[in-house]
Amino acid sequence: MLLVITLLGVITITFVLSRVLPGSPVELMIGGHPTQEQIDAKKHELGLDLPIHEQFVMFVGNTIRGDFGTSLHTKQPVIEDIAERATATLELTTLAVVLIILIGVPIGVISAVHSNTMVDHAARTLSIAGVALPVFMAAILLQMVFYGALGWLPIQGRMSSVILLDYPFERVTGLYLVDTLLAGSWIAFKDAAAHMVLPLATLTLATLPMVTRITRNMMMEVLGEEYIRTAFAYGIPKRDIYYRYALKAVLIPLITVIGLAYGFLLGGSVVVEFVFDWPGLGGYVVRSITRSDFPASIGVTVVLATTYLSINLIVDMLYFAIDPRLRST
Amino acid sequence: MTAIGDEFKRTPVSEPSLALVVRHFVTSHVLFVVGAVVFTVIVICALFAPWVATHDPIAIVFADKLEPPSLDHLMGTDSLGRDIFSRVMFGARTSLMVGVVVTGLAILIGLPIGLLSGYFGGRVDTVLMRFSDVFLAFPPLLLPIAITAALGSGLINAMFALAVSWFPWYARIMRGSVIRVKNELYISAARAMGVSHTRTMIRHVVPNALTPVVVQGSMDFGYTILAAASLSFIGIGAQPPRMEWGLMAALSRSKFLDFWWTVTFPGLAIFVTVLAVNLLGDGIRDMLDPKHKEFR
Amino acid sequence: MLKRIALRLATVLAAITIVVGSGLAPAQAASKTITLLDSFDIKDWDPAVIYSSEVRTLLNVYETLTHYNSETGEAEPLLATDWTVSDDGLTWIFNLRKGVMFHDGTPFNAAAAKASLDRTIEIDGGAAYIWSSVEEISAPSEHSLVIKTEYPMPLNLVATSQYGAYMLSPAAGAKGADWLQEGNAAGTGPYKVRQWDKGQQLVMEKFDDYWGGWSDDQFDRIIVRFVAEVSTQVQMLRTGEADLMLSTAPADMLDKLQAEPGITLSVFESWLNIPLMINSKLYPTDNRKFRQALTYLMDYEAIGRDIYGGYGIVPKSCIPQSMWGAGQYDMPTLDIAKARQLLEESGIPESDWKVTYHAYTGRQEIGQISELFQALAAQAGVEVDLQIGEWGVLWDKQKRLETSANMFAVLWWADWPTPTGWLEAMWHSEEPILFNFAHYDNPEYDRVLDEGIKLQGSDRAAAIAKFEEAQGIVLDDAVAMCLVDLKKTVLHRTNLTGVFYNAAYETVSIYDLRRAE
Repeated sequence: MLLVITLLGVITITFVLSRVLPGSPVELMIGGHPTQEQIDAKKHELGLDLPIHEQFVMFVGNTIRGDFGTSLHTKQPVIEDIAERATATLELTTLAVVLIILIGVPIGVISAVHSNTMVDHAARTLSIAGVALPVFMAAILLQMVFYGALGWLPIQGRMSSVILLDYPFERVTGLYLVDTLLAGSWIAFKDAAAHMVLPLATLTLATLPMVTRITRNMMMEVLGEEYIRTAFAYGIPKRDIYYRYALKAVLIPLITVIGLAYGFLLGGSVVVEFVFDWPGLGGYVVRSITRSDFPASIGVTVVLATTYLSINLIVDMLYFAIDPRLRST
Repeated sequence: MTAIGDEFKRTPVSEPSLALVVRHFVTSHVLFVVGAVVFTVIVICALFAPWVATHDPIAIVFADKLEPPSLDHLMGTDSLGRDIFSRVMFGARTSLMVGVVVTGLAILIGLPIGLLSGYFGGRVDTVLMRFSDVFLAFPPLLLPIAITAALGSGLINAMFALAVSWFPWYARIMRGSVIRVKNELYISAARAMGVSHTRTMIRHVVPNALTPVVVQGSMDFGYTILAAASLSFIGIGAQPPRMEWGLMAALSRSKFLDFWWTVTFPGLAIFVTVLAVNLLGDGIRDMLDPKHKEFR
Repeated sequence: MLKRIALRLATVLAAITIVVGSGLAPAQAASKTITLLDSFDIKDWDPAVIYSSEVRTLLNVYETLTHYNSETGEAEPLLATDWTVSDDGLTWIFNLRKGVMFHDGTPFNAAAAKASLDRTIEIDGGAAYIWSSVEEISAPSEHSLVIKTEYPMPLNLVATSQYGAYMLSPAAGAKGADWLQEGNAAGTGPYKVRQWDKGQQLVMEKFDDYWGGWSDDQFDRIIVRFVAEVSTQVQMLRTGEADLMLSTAPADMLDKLQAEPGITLSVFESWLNIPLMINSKLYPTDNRKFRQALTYLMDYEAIGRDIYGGYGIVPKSCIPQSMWGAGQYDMPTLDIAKARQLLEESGIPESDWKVTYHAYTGRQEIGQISELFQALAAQAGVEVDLQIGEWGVLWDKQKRLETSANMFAVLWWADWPTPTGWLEAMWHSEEPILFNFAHYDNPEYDRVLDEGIKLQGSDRAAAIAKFEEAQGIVLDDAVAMCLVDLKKTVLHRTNLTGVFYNAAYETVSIYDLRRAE
């Protein structure tokens, strides 16, 4: 199947990169003052003394089993590190996607419907401006205003120190908002929610413009279609045309935007997680790569790429399922 | 004496004056014009940086360390006493270069792939598109980060990494465009006359399929600058002593609260440039792409 | 219709914000809790291999046999009350403190001490090398620990080390490194680990049976929050949400912060200095005059005064003055003319006046220094090719001659109180290279240094004489430019008293802190 081939390609690229990474990873893995015998032994253990094609096969096999080795930094299996952090990123990005769609789509549609009016110009400028603002500046500014000046929201982290201590709750899903509710701890829930506001706002602001823009463009395309013009010619009320026919036509391709948005969010989350100390995958990616944590950086790259691929696949299938025109093909 | 049929001669209306044409253009494409003007200013600053700059951008003068904006130092000074305004001017060169190089390289790689893929179709198409799809499978920024880490930090490597991650878009767009053009009558005519594939592609297909690529390129220009700045922020893009806006902002970010000008002006420079380029790109698209003609 | 949806959505969002935001200023912890900030989470939990920033927090949990007094330069009793060494310097007898317990209830005694050290030596990770002279460890009686060495070493000083000299409960050691790595600890220190929320915070609480005893005004609980961005840390300090920053703030922010009410900047001696290593085996720095010329191309005063905001001192040797055995020499100063003269005398053609310079990220001052050098070197006609990268990567490159740079600046300090932390680690010939970034190979230097090493356990004065001779050779051969001796700066709330940073331990002891209300 297509997915398998693409996945194989992803793994190949990651493998190539892993063999090119600078900083002798084996010595870093042993730590301390490694002797030549120790280095050779470790290389043999990892299969690094095998010919390259055998190494590749080993690599693919390990990847399928989810065995990415042990992180040089945390001394834990990489897959465990990833599992711990994945839910944090999932919580943030999923909520962000929901918010972005709920806010961005209406704005984009309105912008298209009233194209070239002040509303449109304002929306377009704001969205282009939003794209142009460096994410970390937005993050620090929000911190400064809502924590430093107003003291309304926490500055970093997922929960307050004291709440983490005094109101423990079981990590069932790893999504704090869900787990605190499951545990019935209202105070913990409020705290977790409060900590989400700023990172969520930053992520949303960073990605919203893209969705607005795409929605607007799609809407404009639809509005330019023959059948819409015909509807106008027939004198069908404008509101009906815009919000029943055009909107429906646009909603379907918009599903693909979800996939795109997720990809963008994964990129934006790198910066956001860094500034807000959100213990998620974005921070893990950067830290493992800049610290030459060889197994971790490979593992997380493959996992993230696979996730992104899967999301897009699901989106494509949804699109296929919903659009009746495609079913007959 | 009037001749018969004179009444059918139309009185020539005077050609609209240049001023009128310009005014009409500007008012109906406000955002585009704003973008164009700002972008031109930025390009001028970049080209004439040595003359526009007020100080030597690399001169270290500790005595002037971290001074707020003043008449002498329009944007203040950084922690080594260097004039930020001059560094921002020179930084324009780097940022524009990044935009041109990355977009150019991505198009250079993606265009041939999309061309071959769309023109020949069949297995060539499948193979080339699967290959491109693999690169698209990575979330944006992840692949550039990984490649830059593999090659080593630095602006050149970062630009290469970004271009390699970006080319699939252009490949796809080119392919779609080529498929459309391929079916045009004049292409079949050329082939019927015995024009070789290569000549057909180069002389007939490419020029006509180029538009969407150009449009996308102009829109992506801004994104590449932002992406390069993000990589610098993480610490794997441009390195000192290079003058790159993202790097300047990133290096000073711990000082943002107390010495706001060290971060704000480079950040503003990024903001204004990307904004201008995007407005410009949007405008180009609006003008060139028939599907986006305003609907009333 | 869409407008209505949008409006409703906005209302809902606003409502949520209000509900959630109600009463959510950062929860103020009880007054006997102190909140610390650190940029990094705990990397290693096993006290046998701890070798990085986790020391800052775990020093509250684990203790060593002896403690270094940075003011007197002597080892003081901690878990050992007194010690003797035989005349030949090969047998040390440590008398251990009675009535000490580990956090897990195991008693501390000679058998436990022996187990801790044996384990550290066997695992041979981190800083285990400090025990490389040890031949045999025995526990002849319950509170008497005997260590025999192959050659004389000042074990009383070695035992003070913040890396690799901790006492770990044998029961915990038996559970293994994996168990420890899950966030478990069992030391003898005043605080024990209560909870570790990985990536977010570490909470320690008072160990009631601590042998040092407790008084009412001490802290019951330590919360260490992991905050990556320094600017975020500073904001938290300003609002009082945090009490003390374990990370070092960039030097140019310090004066401004100090002036703020509620925040105090405390300054202490440290062992930190920055030797800029010059590669003695790579052209053109393999030429001695060329190296010497380079040493005159740095504005040493500017480094301490401007880059470090006055919190750096112009060095008098390649070892910081805060370490015993540091000599005082005529160090080079900024002199472009002299540099040019030496460059010409070196015989290297002007077209080859090019050097590669590697600097690592993490501390902005290292990058600033490299840019300063680049600018000054250009004035003498020397072109500096600057490359910034990650420590691990650059370290690896510098180890091998083919990939090394001409110049490599490192932030350095000793693992235990000895000048050999610089002299041996950095300039003693070695194969393969570990920290000898200058690829220095001078048999004369090795001989002098080795003699000093043999004497440091038995005759400090004689050892110092040798060490000073060694420093002289390093400076003569110009294999290092010693850029600055750094002061340690600690930012904290003004109402904290007793803040003290000991040069030998990268932390502030919380046990000694009090908060004035």
